[in-house]
Amino acid sequence: MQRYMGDVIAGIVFIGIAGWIVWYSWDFPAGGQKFSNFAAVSIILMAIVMIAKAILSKEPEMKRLMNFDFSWSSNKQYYIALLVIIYWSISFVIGYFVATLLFLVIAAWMSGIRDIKVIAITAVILLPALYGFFILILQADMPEGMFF
Amino acid sequence: MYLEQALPYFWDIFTWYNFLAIMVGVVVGIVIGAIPGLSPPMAIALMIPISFKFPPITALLLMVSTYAAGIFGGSFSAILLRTPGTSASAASSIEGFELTKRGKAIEAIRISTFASVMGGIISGVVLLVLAPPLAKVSLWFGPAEYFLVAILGLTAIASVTFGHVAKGLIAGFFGLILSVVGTDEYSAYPRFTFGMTPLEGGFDIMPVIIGLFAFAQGMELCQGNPKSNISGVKTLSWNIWPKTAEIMRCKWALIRGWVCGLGIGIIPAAGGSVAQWIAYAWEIRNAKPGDEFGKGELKGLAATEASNNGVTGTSLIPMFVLGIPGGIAAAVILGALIIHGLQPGMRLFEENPAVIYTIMWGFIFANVIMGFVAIVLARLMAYLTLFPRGIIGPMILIFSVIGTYTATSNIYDVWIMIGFGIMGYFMFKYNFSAAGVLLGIILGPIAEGGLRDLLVVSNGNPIGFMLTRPLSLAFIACIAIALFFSVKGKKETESHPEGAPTRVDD
Repeated sequence: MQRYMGDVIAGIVFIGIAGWIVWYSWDFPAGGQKFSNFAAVSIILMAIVMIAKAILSKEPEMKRLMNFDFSWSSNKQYYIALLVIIYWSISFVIGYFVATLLFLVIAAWMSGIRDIKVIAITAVILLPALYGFFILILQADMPEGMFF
Repeated sequence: MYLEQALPYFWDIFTWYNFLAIMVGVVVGIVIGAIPGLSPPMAIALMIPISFKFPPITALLLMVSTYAAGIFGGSFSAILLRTPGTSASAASSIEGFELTKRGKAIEAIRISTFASVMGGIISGVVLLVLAPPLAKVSLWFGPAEYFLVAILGLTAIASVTFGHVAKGLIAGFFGLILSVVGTDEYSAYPRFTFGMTPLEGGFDIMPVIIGLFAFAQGMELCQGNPKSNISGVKTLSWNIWPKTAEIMRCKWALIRGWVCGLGIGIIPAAGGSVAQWIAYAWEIRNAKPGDEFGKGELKGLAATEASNNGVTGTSLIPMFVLGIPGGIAAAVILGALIIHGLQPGMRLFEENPAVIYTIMWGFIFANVIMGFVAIVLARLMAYLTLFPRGIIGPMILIFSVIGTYTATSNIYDVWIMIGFGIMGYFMFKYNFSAAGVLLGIILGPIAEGGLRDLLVVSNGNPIGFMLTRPLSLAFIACIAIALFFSVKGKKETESHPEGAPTRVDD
């Protein structure tokens, strides 16, 4: 797939979403649909411009082949984002601070830090700092679980 | 006239307890402001129970100092880590972080500190000297003016697209759509909530900012070489004192930023979140050949920092003189004022001049102190840019979660933040402007509310109504000028590509 196809597909998706917004908000009472419809129609117009620009572009960058890279090093940030979702979910089961410790160790490891000493020093400084600042000073009510 | 009345109270700020209150307020403000999610209003609210034991002047000095420093503190994390601590510092993350990536973190902090300190002082002087007459100006703002201010802000979207105009505008309009999510204030009808209760209040601005900027930045840092650092340098300069050459290079950017901040500050509900974008867009429109907007342009950072602190003093004017808080922070300070048995309004100036003028002097002095405290704290915080990406990335993700949860105490806001964070990462990767979405969400409610009120008060003839109001005409002229320079700038870029200002991805 060529890169400009990416912009074409994105443009079509935006037109679809904007069209759906106009359809969905059609019956909003008291003129509540006017503003969102104005924005949605503007998106459709801009998406058409984007598609036309992508198709008509003569820039070499736009013609470059799209490079789908499924290697770990190129995609680790997505797995770490997934880890954040797991981290926040299990915070309510095992407690915020235990979950944070686990997240920090695993995320640092996943991002490529292999020096255990660096991870340990970070955890030893960060966790008491978080506890002191957020719990003791700000008195934030962080999720508690079976541990802490 | 007001200055003569104020002068005798200048020395009152130098009693040891008032001085200490200012110092504590400044340090707390900078630290809390620098942490994404912890906003100046939250810091001020935390001070209220502590301040019960203090005399009213000391208590309010503590709060106004926290407010002034909180806005400035937000810029530190924006510049160093691209994680704006407050909504008023989001624009600073664009040029500021690009400068950090080029190993110019201290240079960025230097100009930011100068712009903020001077902006705060000028704003404080305007507050002291012109508060009563300017407060009357804020009463001239009606639905037409609110709508036009929002439109003026929206013209900034076209300027912050950095060569990807269609994508940037799509992002901006998408932000406008997101701004209508929640219960319609006019009909109580839930719009785009899909039956989900947490969405009925709409998107809180804090999870959106943390997601689009901080979380997306955390993801970005987790990618690539984990042992490299953000700034690409191994040591940092100690020289944080402002340099004359840098100030002279940015002089017009600073002046435009201060003017923008002072003007927007007196408009209730606008504030630094709007002023920074208008100032930034103004600066981009004035770009000269060789300027590197979007790649770390000092003038862009100077303008945003000058404007967001230029707002701080003037945004207190409607609150002190009319009892109308211009923003959340002013509302919290108003609450503190009332708790301490003081009623805002002109009677405050007549019956309690010692209180009001000492607070105003204290606000100015807090900005001076802020500069000195910044020299110490900025140095410490700049060390974060020397941390390995593989450590700082996960730390930012942790702070994004805890900051959002502490700010809103709402589990769902953390999910919303994560959602915006993943969206922000993809937008960043594929050149859709995250700043555009943020601008849309900030300005959407002001624009929609203004437009719908305008349609009612004008009996369906908004244009005719606007043309009868001098302030509306002034804003229409500003919008026309902004659009003219946007188009002119674009044409010049197209006709002189070699000498044109450099933009990202050009």
